[in-house]
Order: sequence, then C-alpha cells, then structure tokens
Amino acid sequence: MDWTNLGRILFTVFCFTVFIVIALGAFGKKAKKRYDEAANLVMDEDDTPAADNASNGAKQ
Amino acid sequence: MDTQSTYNYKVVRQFSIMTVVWGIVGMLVGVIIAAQLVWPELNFGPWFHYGRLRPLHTNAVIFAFGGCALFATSYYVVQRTCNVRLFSDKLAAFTFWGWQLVIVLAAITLPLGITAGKEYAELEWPIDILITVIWVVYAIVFFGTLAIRKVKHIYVANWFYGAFILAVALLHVVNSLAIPVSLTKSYSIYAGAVDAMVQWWYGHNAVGFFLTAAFLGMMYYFVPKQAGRPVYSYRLSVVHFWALIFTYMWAGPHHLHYTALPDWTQSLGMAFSLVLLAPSWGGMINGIMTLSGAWHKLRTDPVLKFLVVSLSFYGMSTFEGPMMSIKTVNALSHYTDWTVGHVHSGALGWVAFISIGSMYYLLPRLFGRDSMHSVKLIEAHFWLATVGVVLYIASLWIAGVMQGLMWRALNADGTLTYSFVEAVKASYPYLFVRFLGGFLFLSGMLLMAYNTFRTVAAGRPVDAKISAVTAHAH
Repeated sequence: MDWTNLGRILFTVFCFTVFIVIALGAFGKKAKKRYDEAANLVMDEDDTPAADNASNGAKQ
Repeated sequence: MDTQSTYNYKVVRQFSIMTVVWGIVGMLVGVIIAAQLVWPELNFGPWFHYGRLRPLHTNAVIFAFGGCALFATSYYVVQRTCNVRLFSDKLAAFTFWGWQLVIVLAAITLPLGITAGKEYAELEWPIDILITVIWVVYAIVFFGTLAIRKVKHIYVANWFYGAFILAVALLHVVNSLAIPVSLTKSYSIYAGAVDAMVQWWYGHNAVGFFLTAAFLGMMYYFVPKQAGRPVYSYRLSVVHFWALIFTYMWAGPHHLHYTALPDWTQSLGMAFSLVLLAPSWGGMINGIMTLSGAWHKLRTDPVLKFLVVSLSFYGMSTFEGPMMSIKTVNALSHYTDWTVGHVHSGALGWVAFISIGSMYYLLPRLFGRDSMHSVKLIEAHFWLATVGVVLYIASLWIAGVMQGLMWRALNADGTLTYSFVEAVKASYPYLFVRFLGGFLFLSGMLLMAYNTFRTVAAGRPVDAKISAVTAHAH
C-alpha cells in the first residue's frame, strides 16, 4: 500500500465531503435568516456620494 | 482629525488613481505590441521589440492595473462591511508604496531582458522576494481588519478577497522558488514536465484567484450597491465561493494538453475545467439576477452597464474556457490567436469592465462629489470599450480557427498544405482589427482619465465617518 497515495485519496474525499456539508448547510432553514441579514447588511449601510452628506467627514 | 472615527480612504484614493494610470500604461503597451504584429517595422532595437514588451504588457495590466484595483476595492470593501478603520494605516501605506516600487522595477527589468522566463511570473528573484514581503503585509492589513470588525458576519465579498490573498501567496511562493546565480538571474528549482506543471498550476490559478475570485469580491459588493438591491441569492454566493475554491486548483493541466505531461493529468485538468462551468455560471447568474426588478436602471446608469456587461463577458469566457479545455477542441485552438482572444474576453470584458465600473463608483465617494464630472463621458467610455472588446475577440476567433485549420491541413500524400508563414500572412487583416479594437478600448481609458482628473480637481479628499453599527448586526 502506498501510504502517500492513500493520504491524497483521503484528502480528496475529505474535501468533497466538506463541500457537500457546506452546500447542504447553505440550503438549510437556519442559514436562511442569517443570510438574509448578511445580504441586507451592505444595503443598510449608507454610502451615498454627496459633497455635504452627513456621513462624510471632510478633511480639513 | 480623529482618525478613529473615519475610514482610511487615503490608501483607497492612492490605489484608485494608480488603477487609472497603470490601466492606460498597460493597455498602451498592449496597443503597441498589437501594432508591432501588424507592422513589424515598429520593433525597435533590443529593448522595444515584441518579445521584451509583451511580458511588460501582461504584467502591467494584470498586476499594476488589476492589482491596484484590487488593493483599492478590497481596502474599501473590508472597511465598509466590517464597520471599522483599516487595521494599520502605516502598513497599508507600505503596501501602496511597495507595490508601486514593484511595478516600476518590472517596467525597468522586463525591457532590459531580465526575466525568469515563466509566463506571468517573469520577475526575477529579488523582486519576487519584495512581492512576498508586500503580500504578507497586505494579508496582515486585510485579515487584521477582519479580526477587529464590528459586525459579526463576514460579508461574502471579503471571503473572495481573503481567498485571493491566501491563494496568491501560496502560488507566488511555490512557483517562484529558484536558485539565484546572480542578482539578475536565477533558475527554477523544478525541471522538465514538473516545472511545466508547477508553472501552469500557478498560471491557471493566477486566473482563478487573482483575475476571478478577487474580482468576484468586487462584484458581490459593487453590483448590489450600484443596483440598490441586495445580492440575488446569498446562499448561492456561499456555494459559489466554496465550489470555486475546491475546483480551480485542479484545472491547470489544460494548458499542457498534448505535451510531455502524463495523459491522465491532462484528462483530469480537462474534467475539472468542465466542472468549473457550474460555479462560474452560478456566480454570473447571481450577479445578473441581482438586478431583477431594477432592470430599468440599466438604461440610464452607465456605471451599472459596466458592471452588468462585465458579468456577461464573465459568463461568455467561462463558457468558452471549459470548451477550449476539451482535448479535441484544444487540438485546434492551442497555440493559435483564439487563446489570446479568449484571454482578452476575460481580461478586458470581465476584469477591466468590473474594475472600471467599481472605480466610477468609488471616485466620487473618495473625493466628496455627487457623481463623476461627466456621466456622458462614462457612457462614451462604455460604448468605446464594448465595441473595442467585441472587435478584439471576434477578429481573433476568426484568426485563431483559421490558423488551427491551416496548420493541420494535409495534402493527399500526407504533407502539410500550408507553410507556417502562409498562416501568418492570412492572419494580417484580423491582427489589424484586433489592433483597432485594442485602440478603441485604450481611447475609452483616456476618457476615464480626463473624467477622473476633472472629478478629483473639483472635489476634495474626504474620509467617510464610520457609521454606528446597525442594530441587528450583533
């Protein structure tokens, strides 16, 4: 038995399993709420370009 | 001024301006070498002929233009999505000046013929070490900022930027391992087919992590922001991320079809390249569908046009790539101008378009303006760039397929129908159209430079205040 090769095979199988677990997790019910919040996070944050926007501090 | 309460926009400003500058320099060199292929008299002396200028072009557009765009946007996005100032202003400034030094060193050494001879990794060992140092500092600034974030969730764009920083560090160090014989010459520690495989493991993952993953980070922030809608499916973005990460590393062997590389390795590379179609299109659909319900904005907003058309080109080149990796297709396409056209559909259509769109988003915000100096000029830039890319890739499709067919054409007695130079001669009209396409693309960049200059001149540098963390963030 070539242990190096076995190690490589096991690593590949491990990676594949991890990916399946991640994908299943992403489609789970629990993730839904968390993901909705995360997606809206960037939208909630005000980044309107304006010379005198309240969120922009002008450099003196 | 209290630096604790504002974002560090200074380094973002510096990298953004240099994105425009290096974009013009890199694309100008591209137009020059395209002209040299049409008019060979334009090859001057030892320093300015095609062979020396071509690596200068690729390094300038990928690492100077693309690199500065990635530094600028990653520093901006990581701050805005983590609600915190960069981990260290000094280290961030070090990455800026260090990266500019690398670019200048590249611009000096490559025309002088000082090269390691590895595609997209031409720079010699002292510069390689400098790149490594800068990259480690970049990682410290980026991941340090993530570590001190005020928002619990790490937004998906940061995952892509993070993967890009880690993967590029790994690729650069492994592929650049060499034994120096002098200050300006070194030899790779790998030999033969192993050297070729390491090089294209590096080369294809430079495409996968530098030119794809990192720019997808851009996509996941700037497309939703400019469209004013959250990303179409966040869960798809998570699956998209991990699918790309697990798949890209295997695709390199498709650059070595029908070479001394073992046949099974070639087939493996081809199989994984075909698998890559799925995550690539998943990401593209995710980006484009973010606009659902906001399609009307495309009519009036040229910045959004840049961002969305970049995704169309991304979809097109990630369909073309897997097709070209099929060995029978590759037997026709390899070593022809089709490959060059494919690269530019990705590099101009995807990478440059999304960078330009992101820069048009950033510049007014960095310089305290409502918008860019002229929206009409952005519109003109968009059409010049679009027509330029289409001319470029369409002409090289024709040239490439024609070259492939001419090279393999046989007479009844088994001799070659055409000599090589006959294929070169037949390519001239298409090489001219390619030059024209590149020239149009460069003209668009000049409009961008003027627009940027006017925007900056009329504005003033602003560092946005860090807004209070939103209630549901914790």
